[in-house]
Amino acid sequence: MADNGEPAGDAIFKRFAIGSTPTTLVLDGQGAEVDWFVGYTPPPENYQAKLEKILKGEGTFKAIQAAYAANPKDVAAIFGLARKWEARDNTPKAQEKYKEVIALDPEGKAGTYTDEDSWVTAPYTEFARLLLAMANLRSRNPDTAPVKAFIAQNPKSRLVKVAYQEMSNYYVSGAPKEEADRFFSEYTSRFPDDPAAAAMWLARVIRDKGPAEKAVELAERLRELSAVIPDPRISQMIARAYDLTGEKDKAEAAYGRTFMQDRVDSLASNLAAYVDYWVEKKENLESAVAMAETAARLKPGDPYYIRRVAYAYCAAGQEAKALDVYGPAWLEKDGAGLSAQDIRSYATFWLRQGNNLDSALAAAKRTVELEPRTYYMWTTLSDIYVKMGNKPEGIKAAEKAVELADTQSKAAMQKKLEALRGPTPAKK
Amino acid sequence: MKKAFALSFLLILASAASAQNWFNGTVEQAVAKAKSENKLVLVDFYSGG
Repeated sequence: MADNGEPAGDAIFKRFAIGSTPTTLVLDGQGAEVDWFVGYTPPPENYQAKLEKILKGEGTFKAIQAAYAANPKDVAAIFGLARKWEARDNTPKAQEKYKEVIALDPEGKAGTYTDEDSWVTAPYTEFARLLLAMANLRSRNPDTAPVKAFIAQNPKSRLVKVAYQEMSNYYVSGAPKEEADRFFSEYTSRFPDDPAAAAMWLARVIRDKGPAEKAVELAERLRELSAVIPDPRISQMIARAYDLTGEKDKAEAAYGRTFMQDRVDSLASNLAAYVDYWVEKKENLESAVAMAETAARLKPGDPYYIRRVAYAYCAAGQEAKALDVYGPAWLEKDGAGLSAQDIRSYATFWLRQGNNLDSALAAAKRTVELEPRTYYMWTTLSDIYVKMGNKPEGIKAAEKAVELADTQSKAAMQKKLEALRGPTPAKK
Repeated sequence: MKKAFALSFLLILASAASAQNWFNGTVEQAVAKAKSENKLVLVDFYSGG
């Protein structure tokens, strides 16, 4: 270990020209740089996945460099090298490679690149031109002229939107007010359906503490644009816009208790969908379990989410834990407050798992006591009896289901009953 | 003002699945060890405060 400020530490930072931390650099047995990446995004599995990619030699600096050595006109390789240098904050080397891309393929026909932030796909050459134009955008004295020139020269490029988004960072906080107004007016009229355009302008208006009417106009536009997928950051900005006009009720409606509870409910539901997806595939089960537990914490006491936890545990082979959280003790403790439907779900869950059947049967019996006129409660009871090998009781419950079934379901119930009454299949 | 300092760690990447042990020594020593064991060297540059 070497600290900077000490000769050994300073030397190693200088030797590898490390511009920012955290940086992970991988060397081979010759001391040559294999690959690197800057930054850390949890969970740790992301970091591990990056290292595994390097170990496999996929898309590494070394691999791209080898491709470039084999064919110095390989535009994809040159662009790849430029991105690697840019990640390492080595702007001169990155720019040199971007210029090489443009010189080799001025028409932009050599292939496309997809940016992982904006998910925009465009020719390497267009990306190279925009990235060169953006070079001075984040400096102390930002220069937007090259980016504006890129927009003027490539009016049909998919990167025009990215160019506006990149410039908006400067206009939100750096540019004089009048300039910012002109910029955002142009940006929003060019991309009227882009919530980012309206959101960035609103951020500027909030920063300037007005004009309030403009803030509200943008807030209402944003609310419309983000109605399908509400974003808490946008909702907070909408609330801030109403703070400027003093309309407390509207701020509360946009970003109050109901809004955030809806987000929590929606997150829990998304987590449950995630659990179902991975459990069905029998993959990624460690994460499925963790997310099921998170969802249950978001919705304490909700049987649906407790069941998702048990579902994930069972899929991960942790049936004892499933029984701890959603077994007979749970039914006993929470039973009084549960609806017949919740109890039936418990019975069905364990029926499907083929485990804890005694408790499932007791639960099913309770459902028919609670709702004796609901046919499908009897169906579940019948299914459990049959699963436990008690066919006579299964038939009795199925007969009850036929008797109570609505017209739509009667035929299916009858068919099921007849199948039960048929010859006993030979035991395996 | 909090004094930021940066640290770097050297470690030999055996394989993604195996346990990783910190290696104490210089870059040259780590590279030599990696070469003899046909492994890679991971250098972790980070900041603490």
